[in-house]
Amino acid sequence: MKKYIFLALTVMSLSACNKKFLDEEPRGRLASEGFFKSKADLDLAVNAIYNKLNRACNIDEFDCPLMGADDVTTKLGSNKEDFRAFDQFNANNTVERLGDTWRKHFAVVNFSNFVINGYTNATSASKTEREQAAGQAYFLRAWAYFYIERVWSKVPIITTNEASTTIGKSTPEEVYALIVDDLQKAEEFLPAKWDVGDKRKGIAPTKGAAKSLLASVYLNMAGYPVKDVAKYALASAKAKEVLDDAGSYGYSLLNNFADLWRDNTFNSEQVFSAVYNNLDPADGNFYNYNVRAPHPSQPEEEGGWDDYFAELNFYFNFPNGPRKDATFQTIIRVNNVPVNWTLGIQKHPYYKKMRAANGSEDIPGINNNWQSSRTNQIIRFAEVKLIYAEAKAMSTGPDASAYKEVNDVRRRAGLADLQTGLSQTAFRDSVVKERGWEFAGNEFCHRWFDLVRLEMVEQVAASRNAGEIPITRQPTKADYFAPIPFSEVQLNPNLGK
Amino acid sequence: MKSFKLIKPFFISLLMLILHQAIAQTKKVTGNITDEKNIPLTNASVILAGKNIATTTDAKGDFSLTIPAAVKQPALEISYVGFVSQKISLDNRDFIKITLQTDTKNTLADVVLVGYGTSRKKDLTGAVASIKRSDFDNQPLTDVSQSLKGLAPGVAVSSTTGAPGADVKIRIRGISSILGNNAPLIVIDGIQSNININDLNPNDIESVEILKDASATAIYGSRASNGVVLIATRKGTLNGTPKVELNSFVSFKKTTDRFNLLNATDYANLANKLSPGTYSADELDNFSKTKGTDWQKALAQTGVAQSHAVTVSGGNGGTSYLFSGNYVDESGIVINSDRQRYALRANIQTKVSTRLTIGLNLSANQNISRNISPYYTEVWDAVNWSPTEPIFLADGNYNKKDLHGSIRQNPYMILHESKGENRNFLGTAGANASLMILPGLTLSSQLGFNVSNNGFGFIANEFINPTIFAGQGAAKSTFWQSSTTLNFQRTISLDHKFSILAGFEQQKSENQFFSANGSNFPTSSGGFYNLGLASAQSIGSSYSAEQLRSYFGRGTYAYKDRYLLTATYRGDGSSKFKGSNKYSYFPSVGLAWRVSEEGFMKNSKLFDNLKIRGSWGITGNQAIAPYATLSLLSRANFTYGGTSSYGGYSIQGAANPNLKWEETKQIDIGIDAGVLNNRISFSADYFERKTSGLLQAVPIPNYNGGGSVVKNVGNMENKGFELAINATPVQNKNWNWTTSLNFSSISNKITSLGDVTQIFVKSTDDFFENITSYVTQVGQSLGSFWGVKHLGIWQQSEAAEAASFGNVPGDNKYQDLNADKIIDGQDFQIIGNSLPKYRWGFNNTLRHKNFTLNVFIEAVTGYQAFNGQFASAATPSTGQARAITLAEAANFWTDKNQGATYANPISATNKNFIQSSQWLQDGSFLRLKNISLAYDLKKAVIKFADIKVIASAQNLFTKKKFIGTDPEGSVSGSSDSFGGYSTGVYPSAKMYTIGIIFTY
Repeated sequence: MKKYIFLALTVMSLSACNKKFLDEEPRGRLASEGFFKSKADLDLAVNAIYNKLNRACNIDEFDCPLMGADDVTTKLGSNKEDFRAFDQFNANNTVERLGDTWRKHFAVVNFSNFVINGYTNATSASKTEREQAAGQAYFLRAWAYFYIERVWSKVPIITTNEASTTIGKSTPEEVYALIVDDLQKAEEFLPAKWDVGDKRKGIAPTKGAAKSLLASVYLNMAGYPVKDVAKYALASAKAKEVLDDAGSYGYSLLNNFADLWRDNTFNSEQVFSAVYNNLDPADGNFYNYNVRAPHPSQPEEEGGWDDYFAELNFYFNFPNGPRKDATFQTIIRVNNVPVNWTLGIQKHPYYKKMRAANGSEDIPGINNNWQSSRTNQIIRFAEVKLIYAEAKAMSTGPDASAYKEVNDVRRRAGLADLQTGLSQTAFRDSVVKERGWEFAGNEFCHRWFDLVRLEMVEQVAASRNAGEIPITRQPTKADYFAPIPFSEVQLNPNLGK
Repeated sequence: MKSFKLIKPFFISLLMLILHQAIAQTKKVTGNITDEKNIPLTNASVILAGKNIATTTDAKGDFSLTIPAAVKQPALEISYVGFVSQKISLDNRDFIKITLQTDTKNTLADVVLVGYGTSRKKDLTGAVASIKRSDFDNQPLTDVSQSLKGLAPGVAVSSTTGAPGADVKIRIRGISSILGNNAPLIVIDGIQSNININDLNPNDIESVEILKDASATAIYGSRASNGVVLIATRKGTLNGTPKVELNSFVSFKKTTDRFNLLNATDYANLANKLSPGTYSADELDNFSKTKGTDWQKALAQTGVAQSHAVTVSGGNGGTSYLFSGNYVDESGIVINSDRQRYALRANIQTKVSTRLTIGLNLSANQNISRNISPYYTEVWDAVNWSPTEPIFLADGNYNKKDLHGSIRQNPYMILHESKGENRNFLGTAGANASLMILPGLTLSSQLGFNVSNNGFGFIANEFINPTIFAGQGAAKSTFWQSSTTLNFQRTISLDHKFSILAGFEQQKSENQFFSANGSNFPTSSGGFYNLGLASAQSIGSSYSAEQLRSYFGRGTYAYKDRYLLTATYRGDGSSKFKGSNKYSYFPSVGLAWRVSEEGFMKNSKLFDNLKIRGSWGITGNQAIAPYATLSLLSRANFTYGGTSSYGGYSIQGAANPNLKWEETKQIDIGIDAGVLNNRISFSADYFERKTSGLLQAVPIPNYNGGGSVVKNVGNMENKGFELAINATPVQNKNWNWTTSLNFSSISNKITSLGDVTQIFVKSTDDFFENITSYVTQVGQSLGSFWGVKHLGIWQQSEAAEAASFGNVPGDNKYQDLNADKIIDGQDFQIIGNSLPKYRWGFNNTLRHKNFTLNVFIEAVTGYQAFNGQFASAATPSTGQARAITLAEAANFWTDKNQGATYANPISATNKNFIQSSQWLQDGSFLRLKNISLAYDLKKAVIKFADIKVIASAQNLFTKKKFIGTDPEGSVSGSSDSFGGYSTGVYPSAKMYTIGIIFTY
């Protein structure tokens, strides 16, 4: 009898005395505290930012708040309400896709912050390795904030990984100061080229990409709402650094505009891109598919979504040539029978270059696959050239070097050289038109941003074709920037002030 | 450790007390106690009347008792559960044989399971609902959940979807946690289990006890705030003749609900009206001939289920046994979905000696399901796909694309080509040993293991994914629990009875996950079995563990069977919490007064039983996942344009090292009564549950990276009332009608949220990623829907006012809460609530000779549900839908049709809000859950076996306002903050069953 009792009590006491029984051991999980030690840790954290970059620009939520531009419109009915809201200047803070693109760009900011605030702790990595990691993070944070600034203008500045539900909005000047600061650091830290064999080659930003983006930032700062015209000089100087060293960065214009959209995984015109591969085997990794092409700008008759297509007047005014041919889809296959766009359901031309997904635009019939591996060309060398031309003209006047850069772009488009002897503003207006045609139809260097910075929104809205869905009310400066998503204002009422 | 030190002296004094009792003896009397059939009664109580001397009988029914010489005219009081107590004078005998008579009058003699033991129902101070095998053995059951539905008040049992073997959602007295799972703790034969109870063989169930109030549940401490379900599996009868039971059922199932959608012609005409030129005249002509495609019908099939079970039980010597096997093969009501269940069980108990009993319960379940998931996107797609689109193209290939309606792939193709398989193995082993140290003092030990291996594999072949995508993996979990209890029961006299239980328990569960995926296969013919063929491959794995260490005790005292006291205490230490939050303590007290035992009531013939109960106690909920107090990184890979995935990790969400348990204080007041010879009995309870330190996922703004941080914020209360009435209106030689009605009401209120007054709850649904569909607001009920209030359509007479909103007649009209003439986020408000307020169950059994008819009706009322499928069919504004498919929505506002309830879909100024009261519908329903007829053929008549033949129909009839789908179906699974969110789930079914049961 007693042996039973003692046996039982012994068992109980023994198990009770294992002091570590209630300790937690998170096997296989990575803790954020003290994470950065080595190059491998830096790589893990930087890889994650690219994942977020890809998500931020792999679907046309990105374009939703930019629909007020005169190169794109959408249709009535269907599920296009979000796009219409901005196209008709009738948006409010509950537009769902607006919330999506806000969230995805801030995800890039937050993942970048993790690296920026921790990279100096990776003391077992070399100084170069640390700086290259930080350079990428600074570049990507600046890229995300540049979009955020141009869409919402007054936004909170987030530079830590501590959450705050009381932070207020900063002014555009403050946000641009952060962006410029980040890009200057990126320029300092990033290499001119990634080594041959390095997986980052052709993908991760370089010194040239940082300079190019900074030139674009300066150009925008010279316009609305900051209107710091002194920035034209900085923009032209920065763009010139890229143009002068184009050979060492490996940048050149492709000879044929159409080639930009065919097999475009890598080409020499790309200064910075988001690259995809729809063969990524990791389950549910939506980030690695590009849904921006083919469907959003593909006609419904061919299995597309009709999310956006060309505005009529923009199409009519677009100068003829190989660039126009490569930009627009004017033949629509209805039940596989080719008809002119005027006989399609929407009676609008489409953006062929935007539905291009490594050749899919040339396949007759219905395209069944949402997901492509098309590269999103975020900064093209053509943009650097046009930034230089405009900034040079606006700072010191349209000299021969300014004419050369804009004419490089025009010649490829099959256009004659720009008329010589233009005034500063006439030259500027010509370059802005050129930018509109060159980057038409929701490229990342979006016409909307030009219309805002040059305060042209009201003017172009007034000349809208009667064949478009009507504008709900004529836009004013209040429509230049999107409202902060209401779901965020709910969590932080200071953003509503 | 600290707690054990406190409890140690308690164990020692208990031992001293027991040993003390064993000394001092003078005269010895022995005896034997049996029932009417001369079967020995073990553990019968034998008390020397008026003295503090007692014992219990052993396995042979023998006892011996020492009687002090001082006692004159000694008499023994003999009692045993379920038998009439006796008082017998010894009259100088030193051996006495006693036969106890079965207590046929007093049904309250039932024994029920309580935490770590059993109790007579009449001794309970807590609220316990008990469902016995006899309550459901007239229904042909393939799933255990069917046996629980609507049979007990305050217990909500709902199927989350109509998929074969789908998870069942059990809620006891509402919900106590916002973040945590509100599912009750399930304990099977003393071992905790997180099994889906529908994976069990229903023929193995002996009883299900549902512990509701704190007096009953607090002994389970930190896991008890959602109530506890104790399941006992069947055991063989000791010294019983071997019994063989065979049963076979066949069921046929059909979908209960369909949306009323446009046919191809009407759809095409509407499309041409909205967007001229969409369909040509030739196409229209063709649609009128072919009628197009009914996608809902294309995805449906008649489900057939068969279930066969065999149970062999018996006992000889000191050993009893039960072996059972169950096979279920069930095809779903959606094409290409099915499941099989194979279940084996062996329960063996043996008396090693008169003092020591050991037992072993073993079970093995293999559940195989193909293409069954709770979230059935294709079911939703079927209401969005254009009826004008064929399933197959003229060349015989699938039509992959809907040009005008859904943007998703052909749902028939997806379902038909899907090859997804889940193979879930669950093995359980529970060993128990019970040692009678002294009469009345028992040491029990239980050791249980649950091992599960949930393997899965899938392939998206060339039809679904051009590059072919496949993977497989397994989630393995092991759980062990070791419990030791010391139980001391003492009946000092018939007037004073007490018991003390002390226990110690440890448990640990470990989860491991491994998966491998590949894409770009040369062929899909190898299925997911040869992932090495994929040119792009990835693997993933993870591990988590949690541990719990507990000390607990219970004391009960009864005076004259009239005044009952139960007190329990538990200390729980959990690995999930840090520092001083690691341990928490959970006390409870319950009191009951059996008024009917009082002298003044005994003379009154009115009440056969009248008991008033009251209890108070604290329970907890460790509603957080392991490692929530640690700041961990989450994965976000990148491939650099290639097919090799490079690891990426970054910071997401936030950790909160100060997390602690949720605590729920519960009071309960109840009354149990029986009149007219217990022909009518009723039980009523009022309860209040107040939860403090609510664990909530407080959203982090998206500008900070989104996600959420878990915090202990705020308080919530649930108040409710439960009533159960059982009656036997007719009872005579030929007819017997028993009826039971149960009702429960519950109201939930958030009483505090710390520093804030509201917390927004984001939907987890992919399609509504940014939408905060719910709000948790102080003063309001949990599960409140958040959105704009739809006021109808702007009419011609209101044109001027409409214009001030930028609208024209025919546009949607919403309430402008802040009167700024803009409808936006500032106009959002609470527009409904997803928590059902009232539940009813009405069960009738009518017996006539050999026929038994059962009719069971269930009703749930007082809540709304969001009908996402309906919204997407009525207004193409949910992302994947682009056209109106709902028949009634084609009747929209035009100049000539101004009475319509739907806005003009091509108005350039119209806005459609998804978070709108327009898409909330009353979720209330009344359902004829079961109607069955059984015919019994007794062995005495046919000299072969007892045979029962059963025919039944389930879900035959449902009265509801919710359109097109089942309001109970929800994608939100176990979460209650997202209740009533209907966006494409496996549909519910009507079921017709015939079955036969043989008992040899």
